[in-house]
Amino acid sequence: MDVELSPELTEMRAALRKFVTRELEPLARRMDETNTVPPELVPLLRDNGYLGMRLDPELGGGGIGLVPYCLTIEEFARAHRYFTLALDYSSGLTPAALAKHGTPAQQAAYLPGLVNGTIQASFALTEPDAGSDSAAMRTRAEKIDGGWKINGRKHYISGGGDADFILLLAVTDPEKRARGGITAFLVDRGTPGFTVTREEETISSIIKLAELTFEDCIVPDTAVLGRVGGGFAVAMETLTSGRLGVSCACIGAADRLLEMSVDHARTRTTFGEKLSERQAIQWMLADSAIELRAARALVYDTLRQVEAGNDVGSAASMCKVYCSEMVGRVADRAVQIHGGMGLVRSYPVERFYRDIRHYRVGEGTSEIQRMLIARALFREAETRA
Amino acid sequence: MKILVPVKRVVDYNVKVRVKADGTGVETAGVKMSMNPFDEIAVEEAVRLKEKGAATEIVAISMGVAACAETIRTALAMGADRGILVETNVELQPLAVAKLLKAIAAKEEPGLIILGKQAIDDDMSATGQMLAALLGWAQGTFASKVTVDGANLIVTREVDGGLETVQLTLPAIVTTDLRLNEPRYASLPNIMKARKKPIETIKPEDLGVDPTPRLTTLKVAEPPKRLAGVKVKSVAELVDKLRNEAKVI
Repeated sequence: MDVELSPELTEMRAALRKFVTRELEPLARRMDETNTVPPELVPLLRDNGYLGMRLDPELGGGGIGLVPYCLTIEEFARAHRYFTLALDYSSGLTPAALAKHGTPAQQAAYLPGLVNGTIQASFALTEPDAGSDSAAMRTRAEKIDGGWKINGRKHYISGGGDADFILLLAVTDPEKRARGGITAFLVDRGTPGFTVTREEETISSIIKLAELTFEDCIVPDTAVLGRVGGGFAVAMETLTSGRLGVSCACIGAADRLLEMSVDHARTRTTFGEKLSERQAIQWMLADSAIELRAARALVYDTLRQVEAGNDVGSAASMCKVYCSEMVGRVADRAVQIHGGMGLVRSYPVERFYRDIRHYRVGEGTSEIQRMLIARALFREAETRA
Repeated sequence: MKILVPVKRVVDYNVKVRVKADGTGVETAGVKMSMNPFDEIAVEEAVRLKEKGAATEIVAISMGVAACAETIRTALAMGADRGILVETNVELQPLAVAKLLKAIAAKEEPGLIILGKQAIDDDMSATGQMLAALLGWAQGTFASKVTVDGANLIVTREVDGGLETVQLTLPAIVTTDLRLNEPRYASLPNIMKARKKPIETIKPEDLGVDPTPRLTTLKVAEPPKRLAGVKVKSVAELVDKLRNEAKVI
């Protein structure tokens, strides 16, 4: 059923499937029961080479390219959304930014801990009045002698409550803002003036979002990541890989939901007949299979282009919109096919249904993605004329 | 010490095996194939011996169609150093495999050959023993523990009455039982590295062995289907049926 990639990636998928089924699936079941992350998760991921897998080997990483990384996200997402976040914490936005822009001292301070799972990072961009419109942020960093004084508030920061350090974006030049007036800072937990003021429960029961408050929080000049004024670029440059990562998480979740739905239809009998014999159920399954295959074709094609170094334009946005909305429909059908079983906490369909709702919001909403796609269309039309 | 590990490409253990319509064998077209699980244990044991410093090189060998190279790749991803593929479209039976392995052993001069105790497709459990006889080497079959002790190998075997410990003089043959170890997962970086490790492809003729089968398969059939049960109305009827129809009491 796969829209396959290459013999190497097929082998990787088989290895991943085995690992996820045997090792991660039992942990996912326990997470459903206890609502906490089992302590053995991080050592398990580390020992099997999944932490920091995207980073360069010179920095202690696994040297894995974007395509196999996305394949890993896809397979991990078949078990639980949290596992994809564990990958992201050690290979995603913050570690990637450190690997690219960090000074040797910054890299030495943070990357080994991220790669061996002893420290956690979080990326703080969103503010109460700056979500999709992140350039409207108000958190301010003022230059003082030998460092910077930060004031402001970030919220809905995933992993922010547990993070050992934050990659914080703050305005350093209110005149320039996104055009050179926003700077990235590395702020350690425990820095005076920096507090986690709230943690909010979310629709995904195991995932919390934090509010971070900065009151005259003073950091040294060495806390600046990259150049002063270059922060917005740091935030924006990983957008393509982030969107493709989310797309693959959606594909993984949809793949699992469809598999559970097919299995249920084959075993559940109503009025003396298997669900699989009923056209109403068959059509739902067929629709999910069509959309899943279309999503894979779209995403894998885009991944191949990115890997080849081609400019994919707005294709990553297209992937993100299509996959996140696709998995919503697949999950909805999965609940319907499972009936009562799709509603109870003791069976994973219900958890998938809640978890996947995030994907249409995080990493740029569907609306933002569509706006970007439309803008690209008009830009293209202009060059044509 | 060099270790040879023969690995067989078999239908994956999760697949529900189906018999071919013409009864000549089981369906393998479009079916997921994997390394024989007992051979995975053999690779794992070899890698552990190398990690402990008891081995210097691990050579994974597979025999059969070109796709067996993928099985060798899996062994390389787990930690084997290089591979040898004996490519042939002829059906290979244990004696032919043992003869081919003997010829490779003559060339490679390993200190130890670790094989799975049997393959999950034909369940022959013969190749290791045949190879030991052909080479005239000591054998420790159905091993649940293996330790290197100087020029000797201490092997704990699972036998009917319990555990038996034997001491073998190297070079030797070991076949693996289920409880010897738990094979590791091939990590993605290691799968990538395995792509760069060398696999040498040779033909049975190159080894001077005629692999023509000595056994002929007459017919492969599904086990008979279990018939549906019947409901009885009373104990008397049940006893009657057991006595007169089933004739079991």
